[in-house]
Amino acid sequence: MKNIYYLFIAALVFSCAEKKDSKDKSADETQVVSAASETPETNSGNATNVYWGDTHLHTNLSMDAGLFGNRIGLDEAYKFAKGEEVTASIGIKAKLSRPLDFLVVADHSDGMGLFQAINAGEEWVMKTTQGERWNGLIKEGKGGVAALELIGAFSNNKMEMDPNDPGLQKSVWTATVEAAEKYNDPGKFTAFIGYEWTSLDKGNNLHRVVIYRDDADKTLGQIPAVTNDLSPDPETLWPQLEAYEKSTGGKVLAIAHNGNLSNGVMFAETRMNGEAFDESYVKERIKWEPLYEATQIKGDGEAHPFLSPNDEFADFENWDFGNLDLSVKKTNDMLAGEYARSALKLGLKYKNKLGTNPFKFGLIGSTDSHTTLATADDNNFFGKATNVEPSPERWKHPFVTSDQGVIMTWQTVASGYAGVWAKENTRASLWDAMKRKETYATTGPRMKLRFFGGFDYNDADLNNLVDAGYDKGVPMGGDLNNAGDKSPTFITYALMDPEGGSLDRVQIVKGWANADGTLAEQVYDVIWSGDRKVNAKGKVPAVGNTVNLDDGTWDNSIGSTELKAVWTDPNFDPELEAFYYLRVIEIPTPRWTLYDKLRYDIKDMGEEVPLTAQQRGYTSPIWYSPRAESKDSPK
Amino acid sequence: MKKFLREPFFHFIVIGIALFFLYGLVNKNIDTKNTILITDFDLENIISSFEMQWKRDPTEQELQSIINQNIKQEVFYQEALKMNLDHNDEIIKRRLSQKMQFLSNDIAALSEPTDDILKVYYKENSNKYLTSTRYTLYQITFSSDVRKDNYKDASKTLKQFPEATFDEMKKLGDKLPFSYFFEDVNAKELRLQLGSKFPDELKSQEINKWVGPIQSGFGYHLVYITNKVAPSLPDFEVVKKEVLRNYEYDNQIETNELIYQELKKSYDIQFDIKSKDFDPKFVEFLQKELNN
Repeated sequence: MKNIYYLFIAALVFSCAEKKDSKDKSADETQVVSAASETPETNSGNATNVYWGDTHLHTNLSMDAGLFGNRIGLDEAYKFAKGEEVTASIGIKAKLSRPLDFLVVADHSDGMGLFQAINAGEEWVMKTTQGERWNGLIKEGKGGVAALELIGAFSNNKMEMDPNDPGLQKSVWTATVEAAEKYNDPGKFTAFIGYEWTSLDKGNNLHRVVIYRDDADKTLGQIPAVTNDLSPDPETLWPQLEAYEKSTGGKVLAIAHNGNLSNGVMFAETRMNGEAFDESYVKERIKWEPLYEATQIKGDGEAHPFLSPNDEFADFENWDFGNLDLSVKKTNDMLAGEYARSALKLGLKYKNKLGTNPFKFGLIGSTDSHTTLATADDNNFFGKATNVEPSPERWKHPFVTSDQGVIMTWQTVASGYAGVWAKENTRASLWDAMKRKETYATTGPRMKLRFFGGFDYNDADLNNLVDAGYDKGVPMGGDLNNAGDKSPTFITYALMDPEGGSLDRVQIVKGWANADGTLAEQVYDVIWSGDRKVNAKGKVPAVGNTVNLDDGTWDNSIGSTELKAVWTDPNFDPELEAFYYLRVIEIPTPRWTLYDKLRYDIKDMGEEVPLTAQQRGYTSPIWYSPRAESKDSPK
Repeated sequence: MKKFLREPFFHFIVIGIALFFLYGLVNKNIDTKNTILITDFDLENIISSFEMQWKRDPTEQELQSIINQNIKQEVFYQEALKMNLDHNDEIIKRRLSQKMQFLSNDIAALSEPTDDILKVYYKENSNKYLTSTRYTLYQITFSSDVRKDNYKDASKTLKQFPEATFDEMKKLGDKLPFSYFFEDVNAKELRLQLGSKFPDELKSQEINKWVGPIQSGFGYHLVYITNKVAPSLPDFEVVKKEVLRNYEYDNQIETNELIYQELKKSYDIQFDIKSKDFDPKFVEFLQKELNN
């Protein structure tokens, strides 16, 4: 027996030696990447490809995902994103219609591995009343109840156990990083290393997804920042990101999401400690948070009808019920601090006041799926979490319940994805594109959107719009200054998703800060399908709805496959700070609820449940400033 | 090597080693006759886990208090083992069974596959690595953006000008933001660019003549295929990383199951159900299933 034992040890040593070998190899690859990054492509323009991905996916390693019944992990997350078939937690096969180009597995850093410990009934968990109760609930098959209780306890700082046991965290983080390394195929598929910083303040959602540009050599030694040691204030996250960059020479950014569940705190006009914004705050915020996740399963956050009463498309899949755990109801005065368009406007005010725009963010969409399955397709929707994976009953399952109200599962949205314009599919190239905001959000469809701003575009440029766009101006995410006596012109371009609905219209959303300090916005219809005429209210009439509710088909001929135009701002004032972004709207197509209704032959789906929707895309803005030099461009 | 890995005897040995190793781990303190030995390793562990949580070194007092707690835990633990308090404890059961699971994961990872093993796997699963069909083709688009009935227009054009040259045909179609000419493009790429219908319909088309109308996500197309290359298996080296990944994934699932089945063989699973609430046939069925 002893000899065999030695053999075993020998085998262990041997396998370590082999592993070391492969680590050396990856170190070589890293050098190639960092050599390339010495000539960063930031601002060099001419990104030739749009890459599709999800920057916000949870696996069973996230405590809440695990409690909701998610039993599949990192391998399945990457396999699914790459287009392979996997078995979902509820046992059915799942496959994307088209593979994604990149993925950020962003498990909650708080409570990393906690679910495994609760599920396994580890002693340190079971000695708490909560641990014992949740373990029992999981055994009874009521993991969802346990998950909601856990979220409630966590968000109100009432956890009886330390969700951030360092030992657990380290092993989970190592698994996360190693899986990303394993599935990262430069040139073909990018697996980013990242996590979600799960900050909550009295149930108000302040979450940030943290994404590294770097490989394992820099990130493996990092223990993801957690909230409980410090505070839920995002200002405590930034120094940790700074420390990472300083100590490793790496790069990292953070993306906030679900302002709609923050009860106005996400884009509040004071710091979390109650003090007024100062120069240091506004600079730090935009330095670390160059993007905002504008649409996802828990609601679309571009605009809200209360804030934009003249925008007939603002009322889209809004979640305006309360905060994350529905402990406090929403009131109208909170909305300005929650929606992307509103924040972009508020940012201009602080540009004027403090010299830097704290909310000068680009836009992306992502799923925030907790099922390990990164799908935003309505005809292939696996829900927010495992308890609402496809089933005949899921639409009427109360998703969040509190004494303040209830959010039903039919209100969850099959949304969204991030489109990133870059030169190649690598961590460095995609991350740099995110940093320079050459990105856009869609609610799921893979429409191709281009948006360029300059002062010299003309209709002839549409024949060669990408070259002309970069040569004579800036792409989405860029800056225009010093108009002089010219008005800015924009190249707008949209090509429909070949597997989605055709295009209803292309719009430009403009926001600006008036000289008297007030903020304003205007939505312009730039180009639309068919021969519809602008009506007396100055609007292009609705495109109509061709969805057949009996079989889920629709007719793309009422929309356009491609829309392009050059547009000049008709109301331009060169002295005012402004931003412009593109919004592209599809014709109505079936919502996931209709696919469920037909698939399961559901008879009792009430009229309150929408069955069709107009999917859409939002580009990052192009900003105009009268000042020659934009002080807030990150150096 | 692959065969060897699949030998039950090999599994028996591996499991034996694993159990021995686990036994060693669990029992390392029992033979020391009431000595509790604290080594450099233990201390470093205590300090580094404190650092991770508090982002600073512990003070002497803190260190002393943690060590005290650890000793107390160790004493109670040893005494509890002597009193067999660990038996039939649900938490301990689950934790140990989870450790076995980890062990079996580690065993799966241990057998780092040689290229020969991977090559066998790659051949056995070659359909996973096949390239998709590659085409070289010209396409002319008929878009509903500029036509009332683009299908009819495309059909009519094909009937009228079946022998048209590419330049002649180009004038009859519409402009869209992708190429008229696709050189050596694979079906997957066509799918991303034009939607799934297009490559699906392309499969059955003849080459070296105008065919169509073929539907894409953007309208109808007349297509002239000049070359069609059937799916082929890329060289092993090209797909090695993917093969390794898939092998490891399958191997882990398989090893876990094998080890479980192997261990289960030495257990006879019996039901003793007297309640009339359960259909005896169902119980019989369960018993049969679980002993398989």
